[in-house]
Amino acid sequence: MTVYSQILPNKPHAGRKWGVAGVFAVLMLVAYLVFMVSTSYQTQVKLRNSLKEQLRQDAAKHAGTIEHYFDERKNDLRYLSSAREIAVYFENKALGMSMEYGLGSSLVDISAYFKYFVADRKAAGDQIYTRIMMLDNQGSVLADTLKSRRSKPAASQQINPLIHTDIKIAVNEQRKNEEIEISQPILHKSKASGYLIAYISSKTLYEHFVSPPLGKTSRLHFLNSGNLMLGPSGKELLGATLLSQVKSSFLTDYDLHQFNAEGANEIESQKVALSLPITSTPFSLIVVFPASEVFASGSPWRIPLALALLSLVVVGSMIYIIRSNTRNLLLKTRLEEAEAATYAKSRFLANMSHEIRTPMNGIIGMSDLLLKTPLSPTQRKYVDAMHRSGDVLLSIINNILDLSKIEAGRTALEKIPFSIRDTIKMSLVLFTRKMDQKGLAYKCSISEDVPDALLGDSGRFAQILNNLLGNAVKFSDSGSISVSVSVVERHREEVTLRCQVRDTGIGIPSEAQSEIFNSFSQADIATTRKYGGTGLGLAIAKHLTEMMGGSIGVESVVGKGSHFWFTCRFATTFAPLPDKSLMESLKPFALSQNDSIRVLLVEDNSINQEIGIAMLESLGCSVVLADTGLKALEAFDKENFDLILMDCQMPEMDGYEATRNIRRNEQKAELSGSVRKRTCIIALTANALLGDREKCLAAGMDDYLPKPFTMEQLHTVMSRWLGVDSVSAVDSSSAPGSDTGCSSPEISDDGQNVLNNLNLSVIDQAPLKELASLQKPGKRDICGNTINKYLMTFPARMDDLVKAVTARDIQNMDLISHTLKSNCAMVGATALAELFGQVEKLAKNNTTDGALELLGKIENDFSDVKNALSYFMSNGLS
Amino acid sequence: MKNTAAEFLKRTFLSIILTSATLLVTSSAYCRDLDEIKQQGVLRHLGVPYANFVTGSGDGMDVEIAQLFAKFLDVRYEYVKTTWENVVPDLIGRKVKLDGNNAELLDTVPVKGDMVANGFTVLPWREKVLNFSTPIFPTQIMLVAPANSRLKPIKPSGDINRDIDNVKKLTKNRTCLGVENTCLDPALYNLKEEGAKTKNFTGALDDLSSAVIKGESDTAIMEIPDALLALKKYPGKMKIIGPLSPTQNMAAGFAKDSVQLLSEFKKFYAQIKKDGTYLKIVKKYYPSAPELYPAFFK
Repeated sequence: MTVYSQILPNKPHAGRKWGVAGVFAVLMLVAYLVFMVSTSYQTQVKLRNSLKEQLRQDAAKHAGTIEHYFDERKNDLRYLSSAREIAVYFENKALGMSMEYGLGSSLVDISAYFKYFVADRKAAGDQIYTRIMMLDNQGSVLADTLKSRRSKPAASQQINPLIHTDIKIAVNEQRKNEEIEISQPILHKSKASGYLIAYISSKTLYEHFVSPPLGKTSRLHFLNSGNLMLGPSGKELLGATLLSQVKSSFLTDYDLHQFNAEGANEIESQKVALSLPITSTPFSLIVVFPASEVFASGSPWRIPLALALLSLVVVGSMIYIIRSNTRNLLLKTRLEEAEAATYAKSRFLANMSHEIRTPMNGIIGMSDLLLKTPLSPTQRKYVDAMHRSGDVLLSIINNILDLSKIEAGRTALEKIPFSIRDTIKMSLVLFTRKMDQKGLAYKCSISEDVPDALLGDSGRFAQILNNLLGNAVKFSDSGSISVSVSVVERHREEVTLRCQVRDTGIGIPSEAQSEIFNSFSQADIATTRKYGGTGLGLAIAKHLTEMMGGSIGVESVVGKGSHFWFTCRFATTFAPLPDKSLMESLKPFALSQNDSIRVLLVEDNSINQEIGIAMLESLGCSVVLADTGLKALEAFDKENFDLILMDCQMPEMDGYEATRNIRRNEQKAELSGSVRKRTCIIALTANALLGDREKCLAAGMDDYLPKPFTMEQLHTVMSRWLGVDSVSAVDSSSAPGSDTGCSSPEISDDGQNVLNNLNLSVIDQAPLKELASLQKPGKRDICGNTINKYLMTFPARMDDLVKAVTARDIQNMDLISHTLKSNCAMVGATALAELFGQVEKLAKNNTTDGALELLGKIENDFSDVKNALSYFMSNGLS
Repeated sequence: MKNTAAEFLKRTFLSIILTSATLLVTSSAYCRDLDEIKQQGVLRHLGVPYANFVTGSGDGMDVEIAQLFAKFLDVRYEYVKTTWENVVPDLIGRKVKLDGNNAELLDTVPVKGDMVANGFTVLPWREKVLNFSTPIFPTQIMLVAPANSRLKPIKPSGDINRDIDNVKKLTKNRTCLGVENTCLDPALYNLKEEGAKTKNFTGALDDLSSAVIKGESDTAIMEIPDALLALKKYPGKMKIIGPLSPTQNMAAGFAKDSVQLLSEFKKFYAQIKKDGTYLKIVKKYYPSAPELYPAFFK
C-alpha cells in the first residue's frame, strides 16, 4: 500500500472521467441487455410456438396413419362384400334354394373365405381382425369366423344393421376385444341383402398404429371415442387418472392443453395433451407428452432472465477487470517510470563516477609521484593523507560505478573454466600481508567434495570473497580469520557452494544485520566514522551472489565476531584449467625489492609504445620493445622475461599467434630439459568485450588488460602475477619530472586570447595528465612525444583508412580504425576515438556503408583536436 | 388268295392269343384277396371319374385314399379306369342285372380290380353283390333344375320323407335325366311311378350339370357333392329343387371273396381317421363337407 500510495497519487479528476464514461457505458449496456432479453424472449416464444406446431404436425401425421389404417379396413370390407362366395350365396338364395338343400353350402364357403381373410390380414405378424360376420337383413348371422353353424347373435350382441346404408365404423365398449367394428352393407343386384361386420383387433391397432413411434417413448398416445380410450398397456394407473384429466381438459381439437397429471406414477407430472380427430371415424388421437418437450425451459422469461443475469455478471466482471487493468496499467506505468528513474539515476551515477574517477586518477597519481619525491615530514604527512583520501574516494567511486552497472543490468557474468581453489588462494594472498601486519591468524579449509574445476565468473566470485575478507581484516584487530568452502547441493552438472568467512572482529548488532546488505548501509555511524567505507561492498556482494543463483547472510555477535556466508551456483566442467603450477611458479617469480623486472612490450602502435614504455619504466621495469609478433618471438628466444605485455592486433603476426608460438617454444624447452620458467603473458586489447578474455586464455595468455589502461591497472595486473607489491616496491626513488611540455601552464594574457579561439574541450586531459605523471626527470618528454607521434602519424593513417574504405578493404579498415581509435583515446581525443570506434564497428559488421561520412566528420574534428593538442604542447595542461 | 386267307387266319389267331395273354395278366377270372395282392405286389383300384372323388386327372379324394391303402399294404398302387356300367362286374367278375333293389348275377367277366372307390354310394342292390367298407363320405340324391325352370325349390318341412315326396311330385310330366345302374338311376327313386319322363344320361357324370344348364331335361338327378360343385361352377345357372333320398353314404366296395382285404381296409380307414389324415384329405377336396355334415365327420 505504501508503495502504491507513493506511485499512485490521488487524482480526483480520474474518478469524474470514469464516472461519465461509466454511466454512458452502463446505459449502453443496459440498453443492450434490454434488447438482448427482449430478443431472447421473442425467440423463446417463437421456438415454443415452433415446437407446438411441430408437435401438432407429428400428431397430425400420426393421425393420418391411423386414418389410413381405417381406410384400409373399409377397403377390406368393400372387397369382402363383393366376394364370389357371397355372390353365389345370394344367387342361389334368389333362385329359392333352401339352407338345408344347397344354400347352406354357400354359407360354409363364405365362412371358410372369411376365416382365410382373417388369417391373411396381418400387421407385422399380428392379426388385424378378430372376427368377421355376415348378417342378413334381419340381423341373423349367416356366416361367422368364430362359429361353424348359423346362429343369431344374442340380444345383447344384436346389431341392427338397418341403421346405416354405407360402411360404418362403430365402437361397442361392451364387447371385450371387439370394441371396434366396421360394418358394410352387402348389395345384391343393387339391393341391400345383408351386412358384413368385421371386428378389429384393438391390440394390433394400438401397438402398430396408435402407439408413439420409437424414440418418443416419453409420449402417451390414446385413441379416444366417447367412453372408449385405447391406451398403452401397463399404463393403467396413468391411463385411468389421465383419462378423466385429459378428457376434462379438452375443449377443442388441435389445441395444446397443459395439466397436472395428479396421481400419475411419473416423475414429471406436468403434461401437455393434444387431440386430433381421425377423419371418417368416431375416434380422436390424444397425444400426451411431458410439458418439458415444449416448455423445456419453463417460462419463456426464464432463459432471457438467466441470460440477463449472466450478462450482468459478465458486465460486472468486465467493469471490475477494466478497472483492475486500468489500475494495473497505471501501476505498471508508474513502476516503469520509477525503474526508468532508477536506471537514469544509475546511468547518471555511472557517468558521474567515471567523470570523477578520471581527475581522481590524476590526484592519486600525482600524490603517489609526490610521495616518491624528497619531502619534509609535514609535507609527506599531508601528501600521504591526500593520497589515502584519494584511494578511499576512488574505491567509493569504483563501488558506486560497479553497483550502478549491476542495478542498470549492464553487468554480465562470464562463464569460463576456473579453479576454485586457486581463486580462493589468490584472494587470501591479497590479504596475507595485512593480516600479518595486524597479527591475525588465518586458515582456509575447502571440503574435499568441492570440485576444483568449475564454470563461472571467477572474478566476481573473488570480488565477493575479497569483500568479505577485506571486512574481516578491517574489523578484526586480533584473533583469527577463517575461510571455509563446502558443497551445499549438487544437481547433475551444477554445484552450489557455500563460502564462509569467520572473524573475531567487532561484530554487528542484530538490528543492523538485516540492513548491512542494503546499499549505503553500515552497522552504525560510529563504524563509518572509525573504519570508513561506503557500505556498498556488501550490497554489491548481495547482488552478485543473487546473480550467481545464491544468497548471502551473516550471523554475528557484537564483540565476538561475525560469520558471513554466501552461496553460489556453478556448473562443473571437465575443461582444462590453467596450469596449477602457475601459482607455484609465481612464488619464486616474485621479485625482491632489489630485483629489476624485465618486461617485453609487444606493441606496434608507436603511441602505445611510448605510453607503455613510460608506464613500465615508471614502475621500475626494464623494457624491451617488439613492434611485431615475429620480433617478439626473436626477443623471447634471446632472453628471459618476467612478463610479456602482448598487443593482440598487430600486422604480420598478431598477439594470439605470437603467444601460441611462445608457449610452444616453452614446451619444447621443457621437453629438452631446459630450466626455463613459464613466462606470464598479459594481453593488451582494446576490445574489452565478453569473449576476448576467453580468446586470450585459449591462446595461452594468463590475463588481459583492456586499452587504454592506467598505470594503476597495469600495476594491479602485474602485482597479481608477479607478487603482491613486488611491482609497486620497485624504484621508489623515481619521480616525475617537472619540466615537461604538459606540466601545468602558467597562462599569459596572450595565451588567454588564443585560448578563447580554441576548443580545448575536444581533449580529455586525463590521459595526457597520466602520461605527464610518468615523466621522469631527464628522460624524454613522454607526453610531448606521444602527442607529436599522434599528430605526425594521424594524416597518413587517415589516408590509409580512407583508401581502405573506398576499396572496401574491410580487414584494413578494421585494423586502421582500431589503431586510430586507440591513439585518439591515448591523447584524450575521446570524441574522435568514439567516431573511429563507429568505423571499426562498421568493419566488424562487414560493411562500409556510412564510413566515409564518419571519416569526413573526423577530418573536420581533427583540426580542433590538433589545435588543442598543439596548445597543450605549448602551454601545458590546464 | 389262299395265301391271303391263311395269312388272315394266322393273324387272327395270333391276335386272340395275345389278347388272351394280356387278359391273363391284367385280369383274372376270380377275385384276389389280401395274400394274393401282397404276393403279386399290386393293388388295383377301379375308378370312374366323378366329381372330386376321382377327378380323372390322376387325383381325387378316393384316389388318395386308395393310394394310401396300397402303401398301407406295402404294395404298388394301380389305377384301373372303368365305367359306371362295368364298375361292379370288373370288381366281382360277373355281369349284373338290376331289378329295383335286387340284382341278378349273369355271365362271368374278368375281374379287373380289387376295390372300388369313386364316390361309390352304398345301395341295397350293390350290397347284395359286393361288400362295402365303413362309410367314407356322406351323400344325398338331389333333384336339380336349370335356373330358369319354373320349378321352385321346396321349402324344407323338417321331415325328410315329406320333403322327398314333395320333390318327387314335382317331377310329374317333366323330363328327368338320370344314369342307369348308378345311384342316379331314376328307377331307384320310382320316378316313373310319379309320372316323370326319365331319360338316361350316357355321358360322363361330370357333364351332367352342363346338360342340366343346357336344358336337355327339365330336371336331373345329382348327388349332393356333385351338385354343390356345379353350383359353385355355374352360380345362378342351376338350382337344387330338393332331396330324392335321405342322406346316404359312400364307401369303398370289395368283392365278396376279398374278406381279408376289406378287413385290412377297415383297419386302415380307422387309422387315417384317427390320425387326421382322412379329414385332411376331405378338406382338400370338399372343404365345406365337415360343416355341411358335421354329424358324419364328428
